[in-house]
Amino acid sequence: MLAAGLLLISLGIAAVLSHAPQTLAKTNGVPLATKLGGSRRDAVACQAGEAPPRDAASVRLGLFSMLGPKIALELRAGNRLLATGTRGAGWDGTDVSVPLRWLSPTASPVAASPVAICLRLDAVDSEVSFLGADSSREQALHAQGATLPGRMRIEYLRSGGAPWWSRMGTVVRNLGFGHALSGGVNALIAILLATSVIVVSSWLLLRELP
Amino acid sequence: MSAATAQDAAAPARATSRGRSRGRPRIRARIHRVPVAAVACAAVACLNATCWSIVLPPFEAPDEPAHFAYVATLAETGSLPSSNHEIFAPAEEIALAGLHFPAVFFRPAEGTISTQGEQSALEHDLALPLSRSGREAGVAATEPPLYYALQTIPYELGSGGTVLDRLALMRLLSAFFGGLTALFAYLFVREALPGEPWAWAVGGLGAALAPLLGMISGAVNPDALCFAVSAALFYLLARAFRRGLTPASSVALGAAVAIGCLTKLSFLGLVPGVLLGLLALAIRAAAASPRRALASLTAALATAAVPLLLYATLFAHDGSQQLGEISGSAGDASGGSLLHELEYVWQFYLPRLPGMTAYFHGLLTTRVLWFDGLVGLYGWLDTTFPNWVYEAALLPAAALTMLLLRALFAHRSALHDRIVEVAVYAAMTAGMLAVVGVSDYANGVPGEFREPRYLLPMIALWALALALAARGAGRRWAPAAGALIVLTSFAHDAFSLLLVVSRYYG
Repeated sequence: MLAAGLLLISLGIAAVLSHAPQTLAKTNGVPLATKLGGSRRDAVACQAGEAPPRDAASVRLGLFSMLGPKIALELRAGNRLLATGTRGAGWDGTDVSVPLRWLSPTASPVAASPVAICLRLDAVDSEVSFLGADSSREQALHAQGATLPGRMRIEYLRSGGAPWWSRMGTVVRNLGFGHALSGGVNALIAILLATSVIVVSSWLLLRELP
Repeated sequence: MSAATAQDAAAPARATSRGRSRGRPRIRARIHRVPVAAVACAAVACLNATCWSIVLPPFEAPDEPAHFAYVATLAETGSLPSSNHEIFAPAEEIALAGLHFPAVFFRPAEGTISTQGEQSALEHDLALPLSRSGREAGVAATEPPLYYALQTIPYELGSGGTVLDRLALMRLLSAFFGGLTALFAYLFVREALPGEPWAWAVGGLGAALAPLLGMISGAVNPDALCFAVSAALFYLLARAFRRGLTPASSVALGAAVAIGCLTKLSFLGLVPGVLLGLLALAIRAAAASPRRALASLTAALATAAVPLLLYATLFAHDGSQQLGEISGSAGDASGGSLLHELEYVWQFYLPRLPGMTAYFHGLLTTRVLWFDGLVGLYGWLDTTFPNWVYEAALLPAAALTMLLLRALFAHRSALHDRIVEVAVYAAMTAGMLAVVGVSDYANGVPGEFREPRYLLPMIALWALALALAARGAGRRWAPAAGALIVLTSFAHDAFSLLLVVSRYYG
């Protein structure tokens, strides 16, 4: 049973590593430089002049909250609804991502750009800040009927690409930066420690369980 | 009591007499009596936390820059931080800048530094002869000093190295405390379920492999010691309920309370439950010898009170941050309506009841804040699994709950016999939850204290729940269920580590 369980976990890890993570396809070029404004109650905010790529699978919004509300998002080209997305309440931090659902395969956002992104914040308990950079009034984010002093940063993520295992070299290299020990030794130590955790746990289970 | 239980209960007594007859010093004999399995659980937790300490980038655990600054202030100046502002010593500030800390924390899209140029710049900055002294420790400034005082040992050991060297050594001490947490969780399960030796390892390993314990014990954070001393407290109470209150166990209980209170303010939440337990134990002991019971109770209270009074006396004169925080919190809490506060704390953990004012709209706090948080919320609460993982986790959680309920129902008579003990653990849990909930209410920013690590002082109860759930599978399947529970815990830990690796280094 123990061997079967460990094998199953190994297969799970292999499956995860075969999965290709979403990667950054494009940003709207706005840096996360300043807080444009905030809302402590339910709000609707819209930003025009966006050009999402055709294969965007989700968007990452320049929002910050300690206890984020539910987000309902729409991408529109004029009056035409191109895509929707929702994210449940309870997120926190910056860069909240919202998966997109394109309404039809032909709803090509590139052809239809410029696109307006509207988000509705429902059941706000903790302040939500809009993050971005100052801009002209025409390009700025509109929230609750008011024009904020700049544009919100928005990133577009796409699916597919290279699987995790193809990034192993990068991960090992990056683990060697910014630590007390430099280089590949950090990855080696982490693997040895994880292996020893498995060995000691398995030994104990075999010893103790009837 | 079953034959196995009686046999098990007698074993330590026999071991004691053997130990004495060989003339070993008492403490050494006690250490030799710690079961190998408990030591193995401690080793697993310690190794796991050390692994987390390597994988988690420096300062990317909750409030780690502030905790490091507290230790640096204590080590470099010999005094406690005098300010809760967040401008740290130049040596720490330059390390944070070199690691691009402001751009990474709370920003799940941003990884750590990833080029040789950035690494070279960091190494250059770390080598600069900058001051290590500061007076500010951010949010940590309000915490009592015991954990930080202990951390000055690895800090000094690494004084010839860089900030990152010292931080790495300090994280190792936290990992040691993680090992102690698992050790005491095992011992607690052993006292609580004396007739099921195989289940002790299930509980102990379940605690040792908890990824949240690994992350916090792999970082510089007083919670690491708080978890260990809380688990020790649960163990000592269970031991006293099973074997009776003695002067020695009373002193140990008092010492654990004192250590906990000098480690983290939120530990105070456990104290009312402990007092209730001491009272119940003393009443029980008084039936045999009122004088001995009174002496034991006095010993426990005095052992707990003397270090705390000393601390209060020493620091009352300089208007320290620590005492300020206690009085400040009390003032804030008393400022609002008690009913609203109770309603808020209830909804912080549980679904709103009819008639209550709504404080959390659009989310079920039990599920979103606590269940999801325990499933996976790492780094600065900015590292999460994809949504489907939290949905999928409901399945094993439901199975565990059903097995646990089945075990409790099957052994309801034993539960009834130990109802006072159960009430004490419930009071300790309620006290801890109340302290965290009231802090969130007083803070004024809903959800800022939503961190699941605040539940880990009850990790011994989690270990017991896992052991009971295994037992709930019935005599025939219980060992298999136990193995499955440990394997699930291991998978949870492994995938959590992979998540953190992907977030920072991918």
